[in-house]
Amino acid sequence: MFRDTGASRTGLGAWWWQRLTALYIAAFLILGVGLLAVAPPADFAEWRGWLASGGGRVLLALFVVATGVHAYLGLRDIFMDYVPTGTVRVVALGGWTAAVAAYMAWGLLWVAGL
Amino acid sequence: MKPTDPFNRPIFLDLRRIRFPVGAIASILHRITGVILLAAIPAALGLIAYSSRSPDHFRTVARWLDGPVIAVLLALVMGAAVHHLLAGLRILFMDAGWGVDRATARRTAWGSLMAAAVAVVATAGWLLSGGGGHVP
Repeated sequence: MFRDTGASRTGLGAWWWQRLTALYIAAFLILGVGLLAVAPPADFAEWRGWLASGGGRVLLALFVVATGVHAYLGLRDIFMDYVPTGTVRVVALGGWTAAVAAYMAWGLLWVAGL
Repeated sequence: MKPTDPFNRPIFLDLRRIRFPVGAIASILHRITGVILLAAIPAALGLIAYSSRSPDHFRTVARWLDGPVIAVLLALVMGAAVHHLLAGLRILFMDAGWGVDRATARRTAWGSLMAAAVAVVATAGWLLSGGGGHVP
């Protein structure tokens, strides 16, 4: 059961994780989009090679986790600001937590199966 | 739920008539672009995953992403990403104590908005002019 503690007891750790994941996501996207813009893969084999390489898998897995954590914290803050406390918020946060868990499970399974 | 105020001060929350400072606009856009990216990033990863299955899947995704409508959509997502990134970096710098004074904070807020607008126009122009290549 999801226990709604509101904004209390979730402060500094969440603040820190939001920033740490932000830095990774920023670096990944700037380098990744930059690479795709400057030297796009010539064909499927090269594209597949990038994604399935050892380094590619690690970077992708970290990206899945970082975006999951970052999005979880961001929308959680939005819910805590705008959704009334009580059942509505518990349901919203519980559903959101499940959605993020599903996203991360899907992403990591995909990367593992590359 | 009604707002409660023990001092009975007047409440004015007419969003159409309130004039926001640029920092407030950058702040709410940081949230809105975050929600946009919440949809865009899993969608992008889904497309990448699909395209990684086989040469046929790869071509299918390339075909989906070809065309003027998707180019404009991608440009808007790029604008959202650029704004969210810069508004976030702005806050990281503020955490470190830089750019907290009002003049600098206003300049960086304007910068995050302008850069996003430039990113939308540049990305749309690049994609619409065939910069991303076309499906053979």
